[in-house]
Amino acid sequence: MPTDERLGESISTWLEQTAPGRLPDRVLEATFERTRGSRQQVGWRARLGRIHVTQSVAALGGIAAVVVVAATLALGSVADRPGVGGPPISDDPRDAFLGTWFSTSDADGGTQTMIARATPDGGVEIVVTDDVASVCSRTPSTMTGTGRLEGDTRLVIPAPVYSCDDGSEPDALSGPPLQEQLRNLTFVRDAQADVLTVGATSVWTREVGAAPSLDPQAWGSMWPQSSLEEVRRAQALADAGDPAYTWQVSRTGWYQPGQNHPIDTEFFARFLEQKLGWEEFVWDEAFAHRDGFVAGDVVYVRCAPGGTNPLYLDDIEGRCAPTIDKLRYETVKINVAQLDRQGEAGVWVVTGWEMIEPAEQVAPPSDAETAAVLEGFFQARIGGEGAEDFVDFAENDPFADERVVREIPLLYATSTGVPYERSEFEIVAGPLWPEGRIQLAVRLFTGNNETVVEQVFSLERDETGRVRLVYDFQPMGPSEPIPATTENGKAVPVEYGFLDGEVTYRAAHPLEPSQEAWHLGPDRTAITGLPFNDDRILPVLLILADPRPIGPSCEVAPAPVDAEGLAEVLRSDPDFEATAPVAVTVGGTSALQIDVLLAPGASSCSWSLPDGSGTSPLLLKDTPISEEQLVRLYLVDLPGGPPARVLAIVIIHADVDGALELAAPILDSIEFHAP
Amino acid sequence: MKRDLVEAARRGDHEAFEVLATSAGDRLYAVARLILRDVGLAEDAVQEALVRAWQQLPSLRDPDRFDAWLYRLVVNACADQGRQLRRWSQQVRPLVLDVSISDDTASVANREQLERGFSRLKPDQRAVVVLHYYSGFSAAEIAGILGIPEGTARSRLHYSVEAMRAALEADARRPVAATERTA
Repeated sequence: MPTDERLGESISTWLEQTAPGRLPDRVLEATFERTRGSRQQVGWRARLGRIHVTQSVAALGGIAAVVVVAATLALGSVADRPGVGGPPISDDPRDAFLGTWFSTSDADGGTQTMIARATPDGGVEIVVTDDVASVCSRTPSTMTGTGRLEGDTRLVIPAPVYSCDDGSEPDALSGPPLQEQLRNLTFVRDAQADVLTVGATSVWTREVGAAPSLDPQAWGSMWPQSSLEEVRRAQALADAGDPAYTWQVSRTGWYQPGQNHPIDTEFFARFLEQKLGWEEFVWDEAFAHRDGFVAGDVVYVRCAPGGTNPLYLDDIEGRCAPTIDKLRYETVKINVAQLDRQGEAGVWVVTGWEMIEPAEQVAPPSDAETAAVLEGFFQARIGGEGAEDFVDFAENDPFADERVVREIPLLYATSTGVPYERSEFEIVAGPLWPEGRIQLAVRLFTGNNETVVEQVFSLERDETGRVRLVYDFQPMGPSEPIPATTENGKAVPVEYGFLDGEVTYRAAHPLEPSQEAWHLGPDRTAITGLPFNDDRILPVLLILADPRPIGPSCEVAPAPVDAEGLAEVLRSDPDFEATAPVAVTVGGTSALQIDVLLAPGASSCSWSLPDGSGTSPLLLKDTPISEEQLVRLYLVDLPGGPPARVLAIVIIHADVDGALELAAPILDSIEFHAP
Repeated sequence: MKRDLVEAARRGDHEAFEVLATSAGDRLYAVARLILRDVGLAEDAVQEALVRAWQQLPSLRDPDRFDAWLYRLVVNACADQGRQLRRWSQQVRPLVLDVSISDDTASVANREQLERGFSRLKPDQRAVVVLHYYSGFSAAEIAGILGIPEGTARSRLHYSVEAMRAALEADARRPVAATERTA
């Protein structure tokens, strides 16, 4: 029998001998393809530092972001409010000027590009670049300036600043000095043609709106080869290392043809740049899936080169400016395949592409729409009825199966029944591109302001253009889910069910049913969420139906028929040191309380015992019990009887201080119901 | 320097993240492959761990814990890979050793026994064994990496080693033919 030290050395040596060398480059490349195309998960508080969100009142600019609704407000007036059912896009007249414009009349052969964006003080800022400026000896130039609208059609820049990018002074070719000529530079917008004119000869148009690069019905077949024979030749040349063809071999070794995600974006980028002539483009999950798509359909949208997205000026993810109009993007669907050799060394080709119905970003809810929806909602909550009509529930509910009731907690009154008299909201994140979603913190106060209920909602536009208020049972915070409802800062407990609702319990965030696969099953659940070392996966309490003990030789015993039998099995197991059962009450039902500790030298049962999927869970030696971990067990004969007969409620309380105390409210909330 | 890179990556700097990921890739891969004993699964686990790292970086409160946090992510990703396969034991197969490794018959047999013993461990037990005996972390460090109490790390390590010892002893008592089957 090897000593501990000898065995440890053997294990170390064996691991070192079997450890691999380097991580293959293609894995890193595949990883980076994914990270470059994915967003970091930034919660709303983190976003506060990145987007322009001021304290409550200023957040909505034109209207007060904190909407205070007195209890005495007349009900029913919301339907008369401006903004309800109003236009989906902000009615700020500046919007018509914002975005990217291109001069169609640059006489010296250069390209003049203008980016116009709104400023917080109600003005419009422009940046005009010219890659060939006559006044700069045909070197590039930049002109900047800030102005205001005169009426809805004239943008006047009082004092543009013109400079040559190489630092030289611009020299007017004729007439007064250049700065004087440019004074009160005025862009006049023709709404019908969506063009800007300056004087009689300078015309500015939106890039693709004026001249789309591709007909919406355009399509094509194979690229870059056009026949199977050519593909075979390309394969041979790629095999020989010809760089003109090796790029067709996926750098990451594989695609995900079963889905709609581009894993190797370089291949797609080459197609978009070389075949379609697109300079900027993006793949986004929001546009990736449509009805009728089949596996392997990959969609890209085109972005206006250097453009800004006037609807999403504050979202760094929203920098892809539409190319068709304010909302729509030229959109292409691409299919790829390996037509000759399959696998890592096979060359890929585009087998078909077509311009499809343009993808569309969603116009974020306007100030008026936001205020109207919330005002009605607040009035209903304070009035005591009808608030449900204003709210939808988020479709993605991770606890849909466990949730007993799908309703907004404390909708009309506090937990003690005190009605609300005042309300306010604060925009905490968004609008987020391209869905236009805004996250709100909604607060309701009692008359004496002693109680405040805070809830997290989202505002988003549905397919019909209606702005809807959405309650998310598990909203995301800066790094992790946050409580959907708090009362005076404390998370409000949520009711969950087990055994098809035969057993219910209530847990307050962060305690909630585990999402870990090994905790899930029809006959087991684990309540996790105890903060520990930045982690929230430790189970605080497990509930097991008809648990099957594990014997000293690690054999799985039949499930005892009642709690007393289970207690007896545990007490007679030499692997355990167990206290005598104590009669207690759980959920109004008699139960046995027993504390168990793994005995010194107890069996160490292999994890590969039947894992319980589809069968009863194993008790204790397959739960996270080990030496030093005391387990408090409550064994209950289920009053409803079969299909389950015995319930074991397990609290592992040597892991974390106070686990028993934490679990106590959950234990106290347990109720049994007729199956 | 590294802290700067982590800070930059937290702010969305792809290049900074890629420097960090590249420098950590080999050791994460080694850990994943030793835990999972499968090349493809290990590659997937590392990729998943690094993608999660990128996505969740803004949530990392202490940049100095970046390395430990990466280990945790890769161990969790290994567990996910294992779960997808329902039963790890059915997927375990011995790694092909490098031909350059010379060894005598006895140690080869020993390696096979270790392989079998290791294959019987739970995912969390495999993780502590690899982190301790390969990466050289103490029980306290493993506890910090995995987010478990130090006592739990110690007991996992203890039981894991005992399980491997038991496998070695059991194999020693059995005819060779009977030990060919993996757990």
